[in-house]
Amino acid sequence: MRAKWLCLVALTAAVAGCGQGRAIFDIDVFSFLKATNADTLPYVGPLPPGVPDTIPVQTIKSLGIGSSSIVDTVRLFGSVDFVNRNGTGSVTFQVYFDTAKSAVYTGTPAFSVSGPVTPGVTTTSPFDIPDLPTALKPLFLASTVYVGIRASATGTIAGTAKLTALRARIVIQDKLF
Amino acid sequence: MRTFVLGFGLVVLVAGAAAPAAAQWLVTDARRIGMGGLSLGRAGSLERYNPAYRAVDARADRHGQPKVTIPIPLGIIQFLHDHPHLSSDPAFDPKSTGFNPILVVNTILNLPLYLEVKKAPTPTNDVAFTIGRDSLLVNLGAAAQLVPEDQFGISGSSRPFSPGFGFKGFRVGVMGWIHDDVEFQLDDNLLGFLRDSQPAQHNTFYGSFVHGTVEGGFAPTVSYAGRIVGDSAGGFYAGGALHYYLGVGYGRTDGDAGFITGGTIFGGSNPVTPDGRTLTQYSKPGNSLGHGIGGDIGVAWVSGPVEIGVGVNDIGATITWPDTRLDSAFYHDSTYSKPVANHVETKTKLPVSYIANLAYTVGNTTLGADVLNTGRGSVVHIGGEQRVGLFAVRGGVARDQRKRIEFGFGGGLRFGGLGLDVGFWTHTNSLSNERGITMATSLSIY
Repeated sequence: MRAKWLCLVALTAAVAGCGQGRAIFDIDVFSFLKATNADTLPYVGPLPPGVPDTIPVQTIKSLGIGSSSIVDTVRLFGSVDFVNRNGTGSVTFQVYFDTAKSAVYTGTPAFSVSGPVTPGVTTTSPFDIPDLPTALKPLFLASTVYVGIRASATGTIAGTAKLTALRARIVIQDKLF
Repeated sequence: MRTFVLGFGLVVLVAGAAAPAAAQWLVTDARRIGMGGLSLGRAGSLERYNPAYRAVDARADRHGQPKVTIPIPLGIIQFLHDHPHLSSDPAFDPKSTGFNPILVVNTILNLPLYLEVKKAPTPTNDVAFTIGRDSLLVNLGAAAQLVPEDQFGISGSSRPFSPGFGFKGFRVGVMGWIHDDVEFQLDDNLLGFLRDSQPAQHNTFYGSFVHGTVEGGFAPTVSYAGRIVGDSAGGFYAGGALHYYLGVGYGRTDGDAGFITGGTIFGGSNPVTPDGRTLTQYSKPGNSLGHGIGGDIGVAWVSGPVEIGVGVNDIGATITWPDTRLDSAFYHDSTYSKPVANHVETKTKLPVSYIANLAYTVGNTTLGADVLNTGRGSVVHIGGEQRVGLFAVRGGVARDQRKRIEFGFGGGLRFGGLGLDVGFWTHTNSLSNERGITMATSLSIY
């Protein structure tokens, strides 16, 4: 229902307004993740058996415009803090998207952010992905998108990866106009 | 999903743009278009809305009025050239990525009878949506000005047939009548959200008022039109008609429809709930006929170069429907419908229409003006024609129901009993606040 309503408002307005214009969606993904405490993920290296390095897959209702629309660009930008308790090494922070919940962590991450960490120091790693690979763009046309986050540690370290911002700027060139 | 959304969008747009569209007309006479829509002679709106004009001589010599006008539909040729395979044209297929709703709406609002020599530009700005778990903001940019602030809709009152016979000014016949009225008005919340880019609020209803009526039937009619004083060169004419309206069927619905946001805009499992309520009343064909009495009156005065007329239609036309069913419907998560009453009496009222016209003819020059109100605001036309030998030059201005000024100009060439006319007419019935220009062409037989 959420997607339908959003889509309805979006396209009604887009149709009303656009000539040759585009529909641009600026989605604060972080606000959805933070609400379920999925913005924070502990990391440990080496990873003990049975300890997950991912968050439970999160569901985000997306635009649901339909497969016949064309996503021009999907820009992702934000920042992640690596709050390192001990050890020296590096952490890789990966974000996954998929339209099938079971396939979220089996696919290729949409993007990765890596940063060296040292004991007792918080490392801030901003990121700005200008455009996702073409194969991932159609995901954002679906009404439901599943999101996953993985934090992988290299070295003997322990800490917490805290997402502080994640926004998606999706440009739809639907040939509506 | 996409079809559903685009369909909804198109409905909103067509309805939203209908107000200006209703202010225009589908005129098949390039002469009239060249004069800004002005009706001269017996053509156009005069005889329809002023019963006295049935008795006024046509006087072709006075207004250069042809016996027959045949439109030359250059616009159709252009349209078919641009869209040779209409059934498979992706621009008209909602399932296609090439579907173009702007083109569809503009085609509906500007039927391609005549050539569109200047298309009204549509806004080309991007539309931005800012979305968060607890926020939603829409920025339509320049396109926001297209969101209607006032009530908008379509309405009309027509008489599709009127057979009968007459003698010495009296006439007895049966007139078909149809009245339709569709109105929308966005509420302040939705208006602020779409037009002023106000962020969505918690637990708030965003919707619009909706009203629709359609009714029709026939009316045995007795009318009279005749010259009260004067002679064939000039005089005072009066006309009137008494109708006994018999309603075959009608339906009416009033209500509001929209959405209610949740406590958190995108937080819950169902943060936005469709919400609507209507009261529907109808009398189906086969039920007892509706009935009512109404009338038309009109006068016309012709004196030398001056012609003045006033006509009023459907005076007191209140239709009583003795066998009406009333249902209420409520939607909130699921549909709930409840019969309110059945076999009850309800009433509807036909809108009063009026026309006032003035024409002044001296030599080969004719000037005129008229005001026409069909129940949704007045339309004013002022125009004139200058005939010089074989040629005619025309011009005019009009104020449409949106109170916007439109312009017409054109000319004609006449060879004996045959004439070729061209008229240009500005319009704003596109999805734009800028004017487009239509070129009309027609053949006239004198």
